Amino acid sequence: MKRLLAIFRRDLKSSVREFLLLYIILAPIVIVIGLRFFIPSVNAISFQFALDKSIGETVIAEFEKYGRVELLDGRKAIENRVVKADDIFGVIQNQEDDYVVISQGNEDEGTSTIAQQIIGNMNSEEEALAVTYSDIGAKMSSITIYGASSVILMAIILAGMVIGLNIIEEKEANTMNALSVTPMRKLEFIVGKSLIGLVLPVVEALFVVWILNLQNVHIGMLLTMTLASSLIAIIFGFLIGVFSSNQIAGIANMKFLLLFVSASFIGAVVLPAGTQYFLYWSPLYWSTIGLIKVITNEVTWLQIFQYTLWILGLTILIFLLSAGKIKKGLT
Amino acid sequence: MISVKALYHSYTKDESYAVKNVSFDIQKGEIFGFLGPSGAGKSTTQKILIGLISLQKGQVAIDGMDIKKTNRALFDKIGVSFERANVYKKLTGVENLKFFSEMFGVPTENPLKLLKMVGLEDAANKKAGDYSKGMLQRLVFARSMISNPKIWFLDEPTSGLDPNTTSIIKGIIKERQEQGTTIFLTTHNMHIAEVLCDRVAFITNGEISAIDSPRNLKLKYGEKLASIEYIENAILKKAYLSLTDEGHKKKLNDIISSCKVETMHTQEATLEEIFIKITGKELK
Ligand SMILES: Nc1ncnc2c1ncn2[C@@H]1O[C@H](COP(=O)(O)OP(=O)(O)OP(=O)(O)O)[C@@H](O)[C@H]1O
Ligand SMILES: [Mg+2]
Repeated sequence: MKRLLAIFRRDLKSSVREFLLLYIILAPIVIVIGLRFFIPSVNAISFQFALDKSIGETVIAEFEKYGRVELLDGRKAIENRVVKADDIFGVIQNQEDDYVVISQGNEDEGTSTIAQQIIGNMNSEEEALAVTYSDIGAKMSSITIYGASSVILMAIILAGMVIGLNIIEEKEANTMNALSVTPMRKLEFIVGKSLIGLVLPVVEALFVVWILNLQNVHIGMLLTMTLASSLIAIIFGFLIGVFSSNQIAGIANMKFLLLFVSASFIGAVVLPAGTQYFLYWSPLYWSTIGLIKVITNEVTWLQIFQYTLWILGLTILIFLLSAGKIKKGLT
Repeated sequence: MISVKALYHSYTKDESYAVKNVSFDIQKGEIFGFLGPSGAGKSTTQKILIGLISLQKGQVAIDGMDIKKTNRALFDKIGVSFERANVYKKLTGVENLKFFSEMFGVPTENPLKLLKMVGLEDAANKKAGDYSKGMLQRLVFARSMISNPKIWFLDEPTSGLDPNTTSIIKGIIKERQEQGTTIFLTTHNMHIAEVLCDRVAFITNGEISAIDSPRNLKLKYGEKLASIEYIENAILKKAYLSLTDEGHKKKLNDIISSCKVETMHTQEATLEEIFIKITGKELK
């Protein structure tokens, strides 16, 4: 245990002393802070309204006094507009005085009633005004959902990269020889080197949830998904370390890895449900699905268990295929 | 303490051996010098002894244990100073030693004390990446003492060091021996071997050609030599000739009678000359 922690501390110390590695460690944190500032700034522009074209000149003019107005055709179009990332309210007219306000549900509290108030003001002289409030289900803006999940996934992958670069450092300096003439076992070396690949993603995932104020996220589920996904990144880190003779080669090899990661993430997000099975082979596909559902808080422990099982199964497969090469590369 | 029998090693796994039929025994508390020119197989032998290269053929026992069956705890008793400085460049000297001290299961030395011994106290908190070659060499040497090893492997511990530092390192090695440490020392510096080693082995092309104490080697091979510089066909030449060997005596006569002799003196053979005589090779 003493040796594992010593290896972990050494890796951390050594990593933060090199610009490239420090950058890799801090990138997810910097990005999510950027995201944090971006999300409110979208909302803060002014009020935005999506109105049905047929709603009538006077109503449009009235809404234009309060903010930016987009004219769209029909309820469907307006609903589609409302679910997009920014805060925008849709207003349609059912009958004479029956207006429906369509909102996404995650708008700032102060703004959520603004549309009703405008309609209320507009019709204040008339009595029978019915405004109903319709929440179309999505509870969170897509920037938050995809931003948070992709940054966590990125933190996981980059932590693997940190492992890879640390192994390359040992190889280049030949320090592995010095370690092999101490009582340290090879397994201790491997586990010690892996620790940074578990600790960094956990710390950074918690940071993401905290900075984006995702209060509904179940921390236990988040950490389960993060830790399971980290295992695959750790194996990739070792592979990169073993196969790259220097840092430049390591970064070149990382590009392949990033391709694999982005394919899994983008595929999971954009492919229609019917074709997603094309991605079942990728453990990072399951990570993506799991992380997104954890962040939107639409997941049960049973599902988490299933995703984790997929990830672990595929990870073990990759481990079995690569263990020999890793072991050989570390001597 | 260390026993090696019929050791062979081929990097190419064929008949071309980097180490060929090497056998020797090192007693407890002895300094055993492994002497040979570059590429002779010194480092290869050391690497096999400490398990960095797996044993292909032959038998090696360290502290009475067959190295094929050792457990990791054996390394609590062993210290290794490498030929090429292998340290963490982004860690300071002290941090390097502290990190390694955590790997051992036995009480370890104070890093600062070790650095002071090798004259690195001022650089203790500087990153090893900023060290000079000689400083790195001393850092690796200091690191090899971190666990107070009973058996100490030193691969060229003084190569590239200035005479002053070399004599400090020599002093440390001698002192450790007096405390009972067994030392395997690889070098092509004959002077070091002569003053430090209880016994030396001459190795060339992977084969040992002599093992004995420097004193015995001198008694055995160190007959009086004449060192002569002469001009033959307008070229300055140099020769070491034995005053007991018939062939050499005749050659000496020829030179004196037919060439212009520039300088000539007789001397006791140095270990270096004995090495050349036995192996037919220069040490460089
Ligand atoms: N990793 C290796 N792969 C293949 N051949 C090697 C390797 N290391 C050493 N050799 C060869 O083995 C022979 C012995 O090398 P070794 O390093 O043991 O010599 P040495 O006596 O330590 O020399 P030096 O004084 O230069 O350190 C040399 O011919 C060398 O080229
Ligand atoms: Mg050598």
